[in-house]
Amino acid sequence: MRDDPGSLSLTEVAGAIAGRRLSSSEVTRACLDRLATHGAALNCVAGLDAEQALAAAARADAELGAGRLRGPLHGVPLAHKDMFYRAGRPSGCGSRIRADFVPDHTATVLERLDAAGALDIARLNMVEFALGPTGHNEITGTPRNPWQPDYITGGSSSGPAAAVSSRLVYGTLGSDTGGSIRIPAACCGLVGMKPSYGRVSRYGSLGLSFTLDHPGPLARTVADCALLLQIIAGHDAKDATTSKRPVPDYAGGLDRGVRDLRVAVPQNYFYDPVAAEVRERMDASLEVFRRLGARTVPVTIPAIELANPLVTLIIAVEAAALHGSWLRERPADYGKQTLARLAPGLLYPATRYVEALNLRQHVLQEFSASVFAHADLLHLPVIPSPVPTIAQSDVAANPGFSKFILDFGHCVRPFNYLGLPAISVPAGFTGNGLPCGMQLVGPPFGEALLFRAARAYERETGWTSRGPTL
Amino acid sequence: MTDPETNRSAEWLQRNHGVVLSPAVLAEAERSADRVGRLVREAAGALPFDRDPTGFSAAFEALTGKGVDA
Repeated sequence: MRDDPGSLSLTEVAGAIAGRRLSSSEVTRACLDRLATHGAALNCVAGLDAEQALAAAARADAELGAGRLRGPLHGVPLAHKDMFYRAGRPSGCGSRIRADFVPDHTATVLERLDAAGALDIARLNMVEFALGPTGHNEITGTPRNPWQPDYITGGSSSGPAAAVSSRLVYGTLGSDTGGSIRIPAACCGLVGMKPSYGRVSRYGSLGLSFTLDHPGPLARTVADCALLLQIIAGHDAKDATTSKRPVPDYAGGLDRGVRDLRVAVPQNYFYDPVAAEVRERMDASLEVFRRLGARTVPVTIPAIELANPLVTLIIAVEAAALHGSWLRERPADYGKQTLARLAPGLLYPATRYVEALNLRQHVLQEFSASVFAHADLLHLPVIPSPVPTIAQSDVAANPGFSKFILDFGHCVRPFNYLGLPAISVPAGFTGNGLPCGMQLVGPPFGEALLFRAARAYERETGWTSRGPTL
Repeated sequence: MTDPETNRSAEWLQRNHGVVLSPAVLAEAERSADRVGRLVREAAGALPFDRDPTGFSAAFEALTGKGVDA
C-alpha cells in the first residue's frame, strides 16, 4: 500500500523516501500543490520557486536510485522563516525595508539541513523583522491560523507555524527572541523548541537581539522536532557564541519515560494571571505526568518577575542599534508597531542597558536555587490566555500595546533572558477550538530531557496526532 | 508629556542618533523607556556593586549538568 504523503510526519516521510515507498518528487509535488492553495489562503508563503524545488527533488530521487543517501532528511521538503539567508535568494524578513535583499552567504543551519539531504522549497512569511508575538504584519499581511482562520498564528514565526500545522511542509526553522517559536507552536498545535543559548548557530540569519536570539525548530511531533535540532545544533566557527559542548543523541533517549522525574510547578508569577481554561489544561497535563510516575514539586521563584521587562529593554536597545541606519533613513517604511517598539531603544541610558545585562546572573542564580535545586524541569503555560482572534489582538501601536505584548509574552520571555532551553508542546484545546500549549523548561543544554518528557506526554495524550481540517 | 519635553527629546534624538520621529511615536517611546528604565534602575540598585555581565556566562556554565539528562 502507498503512503499518503500528507498524513505522514517528518520522520515517517523521511523513512518512506529512504525506503523508496515514496519518491521525493511526488512528496515535493504534493507540498507545492498545498503551498499554492492552502499556503496562499493562509498567507504563510513569502516566496516559492516550484521549478527549482522539483528539480532538487528529482536530483534527490536520482541520487537515491544510484544508492546515495545524503542523510536523515534525504529528499524531504522543508521551508523556513524568511530570515534564514541562502546566497543569491531574496530574504525579505517580513519587511518593506528588506523586500529586495539578496544575501551573499547561506545560514549555517540551512547548510546543515542541506547536508542532511533536506529540500528547502519555500520562504515563509513572518512578523516584520521578527519583532512581535501575535503574528500581525501590516507590511506583508497577517498569516491565518489553520485551525480557524480568524485566529492568530502567534509570532513571530507565524508563517512557519501555519505551514507545518496545515501539513504544507514537514518541518521548519523559526527564531525565538521573546517567544517567537514557542508562541506560534502553541497557537497552531505544534512542538517548538527554543534551545539553550549557544546550542544553535545564528550565522546567516537576521539578528534582532544578540543577547536573546535563539534559532530552533517547529514540527508536528516531538521526534520530528528532536531530529531537526539534532541536525542543526552544535558549534559553528562562524558564530562565536555557539557552544563547543557535544550534541547528545536526542532520539536515543526519547522513550525513556518520566518515572521519578521531578516536575516543578511555579507558585508565583507565571500564573498571575492565567485564564481558567488554560489553567485547567495545565492541571490536566500535570496529572498526566503524575500518572506516568513523575513527581510534581511546588516552587516559588524569586526575582523572576524582573525578567519580562528586562527583555523589553534589551530587545529595544539591541534592535535599535541594529536598525540604526534604517531608523535614520527610512522610518516611514516600518510598520507602526515595529517602529514604536524600536524607538524606546534609542532613549534608554547606556547604564540601564548594562544594568539589565548585569541582572541576568542574579535572576539565573535565583531561578536555579529555587527550581533546579528541587526539580529536573519546570512546567508552565506558553501563553496565559486562549488563542485570540486576529481582530481582538490587532493592537498595532495603539495605547496599551506595549502592556499587551508584555502580558502575552509573560510566560515565555523570561527564558530568553536566562538562555535556558524551553519546549512548547500541544496540551489539548480550549473552548474556542484552538490548541493550547504547555511549556517545559530545563537546565542549560538539557534539551534531551525536555524531549524525553515531552515525548512521554505526547505518547500518553496523542494531541500531536491531530491536525486542522482545511 | 508636555510639548516642550517632547521637543527636547526630539532634538536630543536628532543630535545623538540622527533619527526624526513623529511626536506621537516619540511620546509613547518616552513613556515606555521611563517605565521600564525605572524598574531596571531600582532592581539594579539592590545588587552588590561588583556585579558584571560576564558573571552570567559563569553562572550559566555552572548550572550546566544539573538535571537528569543534561
